[in-house]
Amino acid sequence: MTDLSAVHPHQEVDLSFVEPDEELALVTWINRLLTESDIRRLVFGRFKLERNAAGLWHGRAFGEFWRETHPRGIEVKGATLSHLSIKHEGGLWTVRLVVDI
Amino acid sequence: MGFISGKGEKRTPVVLFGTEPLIRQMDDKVLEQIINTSRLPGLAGSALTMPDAHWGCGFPIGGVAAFDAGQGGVISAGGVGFDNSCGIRTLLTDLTEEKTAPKFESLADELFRRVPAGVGQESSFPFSLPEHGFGEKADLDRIEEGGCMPEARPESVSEKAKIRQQEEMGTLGSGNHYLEVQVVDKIQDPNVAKAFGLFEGQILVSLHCGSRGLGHQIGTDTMMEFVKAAPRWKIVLPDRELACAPIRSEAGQRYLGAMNATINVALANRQILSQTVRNVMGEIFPGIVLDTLYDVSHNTCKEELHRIGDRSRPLFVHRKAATRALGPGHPSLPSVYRSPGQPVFIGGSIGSGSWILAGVSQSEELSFSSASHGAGRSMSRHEALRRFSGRMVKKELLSRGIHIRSNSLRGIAEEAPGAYKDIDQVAEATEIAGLAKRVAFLRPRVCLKG
Repeated sequence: MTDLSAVHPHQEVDLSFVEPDEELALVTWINRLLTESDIRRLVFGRFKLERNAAGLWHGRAFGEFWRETHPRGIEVKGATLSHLSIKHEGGLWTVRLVVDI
Repeated sequence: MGFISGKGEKRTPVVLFGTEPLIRQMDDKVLEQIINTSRLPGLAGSALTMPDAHWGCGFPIGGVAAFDAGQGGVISAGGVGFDNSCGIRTLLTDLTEEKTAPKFESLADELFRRVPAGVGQESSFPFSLPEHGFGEKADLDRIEEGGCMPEARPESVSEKAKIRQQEEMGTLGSGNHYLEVQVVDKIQDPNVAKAFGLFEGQILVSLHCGSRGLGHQIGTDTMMEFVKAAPRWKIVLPDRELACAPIRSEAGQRYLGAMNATINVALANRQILSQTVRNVMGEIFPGIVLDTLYDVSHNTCKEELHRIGDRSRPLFVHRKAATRALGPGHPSLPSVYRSPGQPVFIGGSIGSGSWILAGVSQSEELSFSSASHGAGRSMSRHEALRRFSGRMVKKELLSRGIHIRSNSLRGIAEEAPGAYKDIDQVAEATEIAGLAKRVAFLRPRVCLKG
């Protein structure tokens, strides 16, 4: 975890997956990002996730390799299913996700 | 302790161990979570919480539950924890505080330079270790399962999980993981202390860490697989975090094999760290003896033989942030601990000290031979950040002779001693409950945090 505004979008990662359940899709997306971040030593600052008509989720994350100047907070082990919810009310999306640290 | 019933439902066997003050401190979620845990298929005996329990994901932190495969019992990744086989290894030295104290500052600096600690700190150790040079043969006898889970199935570990671990062997990690140089401050049980090789004023080193990225990957992947497959197995989940699979299913067996392989990775990780400590301390204190006292994991599910009623049967015991604590005479113990019982570690936060306890026979009946693993948080990391300053905590601890090294002041604030329960209360409650008995209290002098 770091200051997203300081992250340059030099690197791009593409991810695709199928998950009919929106909440589980959110957990999948976050966990895939954590894996990519860990393996490629990347920090992401911008994200885009879309679902096409066939139900395939396609996500893109933009960022850069970790630098000394990026303060690194606690390590996130994974997104959990605890208190997981996505609500869409009155044009407002409310998302709740708990991560294990 | 007692039975708790839900509205219109059958009596749910749940036992919460702890003194009244500790039970009162537990958040309401602990009770809710352990009741949910007790409703999973094939539970054997009661679902338990240790005195250091607090809210977790699915199972409470400090939760213990055993399942019978023959009764449709299940295995749960959430019941093991994302940091599979996180545990503590303690090393005994022949040094005393009196003789080593002047070198604590340089020792802290050198350990911090050589032990990768914190988020993103990589190591140069290969994933496949060479056969020699990372330990002593005597270590194996002082590690659970003789240092190797025989039922491990590395082929069940995904390539992604293996890749994540490539540069993480021999790293400490972050969060509540630590490396501490400690002093035996007080002996509570002289006979057992002697059997463990402990004496007052002695310097010890303790490592607290787990299976790193490999364990995280397996934990998250498995939870998603199990939650989606639950309807197929006709498992009704009171909480999705309790996602589980029948032990005898293909998915359950695959997770069990992968989890056992992960335990071996965690043991190897602590072995490398132990060797790094030996190298560093050997340079600063030539001729030093650094023997392993014991290595015990506290995030596992293991198949063990336990007696319920009048017969013994194999059970799959989930210990999520709970330590196995085998009593005297247990056949799984190395011969050196058959008489005093297994060394049990209750690790504290920075500055608060730790306890070494010994397993006792009655814990077999009470808790499937399980005990507390740590002080247990009394507040969230967010709340700790609001209340404590990392810089102030570090300064205050230094005034007490405790040298903290960390890449993250934020991490120090989150792990401030005030953010945890009173470790003396937890150790005392563990003894009063009959789960283990206190042997010695350890005072920290050097602490590396991730």
